[in-house]
Amino acid sequence: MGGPENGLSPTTSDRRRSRRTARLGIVAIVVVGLGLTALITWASSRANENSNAALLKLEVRQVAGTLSAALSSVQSELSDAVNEATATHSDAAFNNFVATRVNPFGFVSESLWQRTPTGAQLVGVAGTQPELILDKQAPAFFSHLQQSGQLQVTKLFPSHPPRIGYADDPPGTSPYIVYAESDLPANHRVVVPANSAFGQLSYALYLGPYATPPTLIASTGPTPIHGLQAQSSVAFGNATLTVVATPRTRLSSTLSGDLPWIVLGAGVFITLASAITLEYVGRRRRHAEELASELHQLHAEQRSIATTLQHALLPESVPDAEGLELAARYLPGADGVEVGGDWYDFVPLSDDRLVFVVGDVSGRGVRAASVMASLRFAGHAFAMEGHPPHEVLERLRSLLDVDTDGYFATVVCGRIDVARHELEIATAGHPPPVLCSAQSSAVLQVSPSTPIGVPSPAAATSTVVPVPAHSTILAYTDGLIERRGETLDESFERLERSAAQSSETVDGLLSSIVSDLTEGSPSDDVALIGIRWLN
Amino acid sequence: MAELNTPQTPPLRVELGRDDGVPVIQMAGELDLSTADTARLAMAPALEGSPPRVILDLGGLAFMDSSGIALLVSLTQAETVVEIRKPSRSIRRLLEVTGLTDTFRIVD
Repeated sequence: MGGPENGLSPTTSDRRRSRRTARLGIVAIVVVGLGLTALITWASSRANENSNAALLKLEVRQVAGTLSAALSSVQSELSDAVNEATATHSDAAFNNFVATRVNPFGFVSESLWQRTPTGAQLVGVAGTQPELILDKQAPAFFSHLQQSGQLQVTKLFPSHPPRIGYADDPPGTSPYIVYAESDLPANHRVVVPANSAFGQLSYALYLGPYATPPTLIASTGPTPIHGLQAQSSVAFGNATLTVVATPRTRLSSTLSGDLPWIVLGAGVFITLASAITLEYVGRRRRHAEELASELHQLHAEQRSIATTLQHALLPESVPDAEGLELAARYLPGADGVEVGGDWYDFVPLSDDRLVFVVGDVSGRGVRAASVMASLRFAGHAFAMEGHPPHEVLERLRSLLDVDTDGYFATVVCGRIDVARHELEIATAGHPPPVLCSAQSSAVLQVSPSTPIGVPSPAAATSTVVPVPAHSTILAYTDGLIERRGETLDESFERLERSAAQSSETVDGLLSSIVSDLTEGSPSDDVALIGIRWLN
Repeated sequence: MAELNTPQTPPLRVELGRDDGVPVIQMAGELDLSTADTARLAMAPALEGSPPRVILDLGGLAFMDSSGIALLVSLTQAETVVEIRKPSRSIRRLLEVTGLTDTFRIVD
């Protein structure tokens, strides 16, 4: 009867270990989940930035291209004016020609110059006086002119508003050069309508390859431009035009821009949800394991109580009886949680006789056991008083009524006369004992009365059976022989066959029979006794 | 009609009916330790009000052990006459060994 507390400490440490494992699992899930979320968020954010950057670069290139294209119309206007002046050799005709065109082309000043060996000399002006002259830049500008066919661009004039000038010095024989100036936006600020082609960009336009403040032509906002930006330079006559732009809003699709946030939110949510679920499931499982362990412990305790009680109610040892060898067995059923109602008893009488009783109270549990105890001790007393077996049964009958007690009992009672080799036997609904000798092994033919507790129409009777020398009598409860699906007679035959085997001791015979018939673990309780004549 | 089935081949089937006002409990299959409690519950409605007579039709019962005997004995309470119909040879033998042939009215 090993104490149930033996299994307690390893169980507790097991539980602690499993809790630690579960916690590690949750931490791992959170770490991996958040790590993956961060990675995917970063990747999708990068993808979005890359697509933003690519789109921006494309747009800036388009802006630059558009500006560059505008230049060709300036050039064709200037060369038209040169052709007119050359054809008419008259500044008056030039003046007339350009007067109608200054404003439509956005020029504030257009002037005709005649080549000189060192530069050029002003012939006529349409519109306002050129800043080129006011700024005294004309000699330097014209001295560098080459008949390249390329539009020549001045630097920016710091006037109010600022201006820029262009000259067309076409190859050929014409003596004329046409020079024009445009106003630049005041304060270098331009407003781009939001619905225009480049409305979603903030940009700054510089003359020259570098985005430096002195070369700023115009911008849509404060310069320099910060943040995600793209820069593109295009040829602008003999100069270079540089566009720097940044998106005012996201250029790529909303989904692409929101994706990193969606990924982040969903990832964190899924990770936390998984961790919480795992923790919940883990806690439930630990709880169930604890309950199961407690239940197991209670079960073991109950089993041990049942076994203790059972053994307390059965004889401590088999008595010594002159001329006989006795042995007994009690086996709890497979479940064994409740006390069974099986019992056996030996009552040695003074005059070389012995009474044995084997009984079985229907049902299980403490109440069945208490019925069993009262029947056992009463039967013992009746036998001691010298009553024959049928009388013992009849007296027991008065102690129990299935109608009021809810229990009944099957009992076999036998009285052995050792010297006379006789067995006097009576049963109350109990399976009859087996008598086995060297010659035969057979269930005794006894006429039964009803079980104890069941009203009997006729009184029990005893049968006297002669017993050959060295014979063994086996009495048992039905748990020994019953097998599912087998008829009673088949069970009896199995018992007779097993009882027929030779065995040195009665104890050894009982062991063999129990092992043959129940394969070691009977489903119901088993009580079994054996009595052998020594001669 | 109450019918108690367990999955697959039911080890025990109990059907309740009436014959001329007398409760009839029909049992088929196997009545042993594992099915006795089921049988007890299933036949309870037929025993309500302690009828003076109950008919147990065991024609379909292939096997019975001491748990079945205990169940049959429990029916004899409250002065109820229990009539057992069509017991198999082995059930009749069991009733003989347990000394119960006179406790029940046995009809083939």
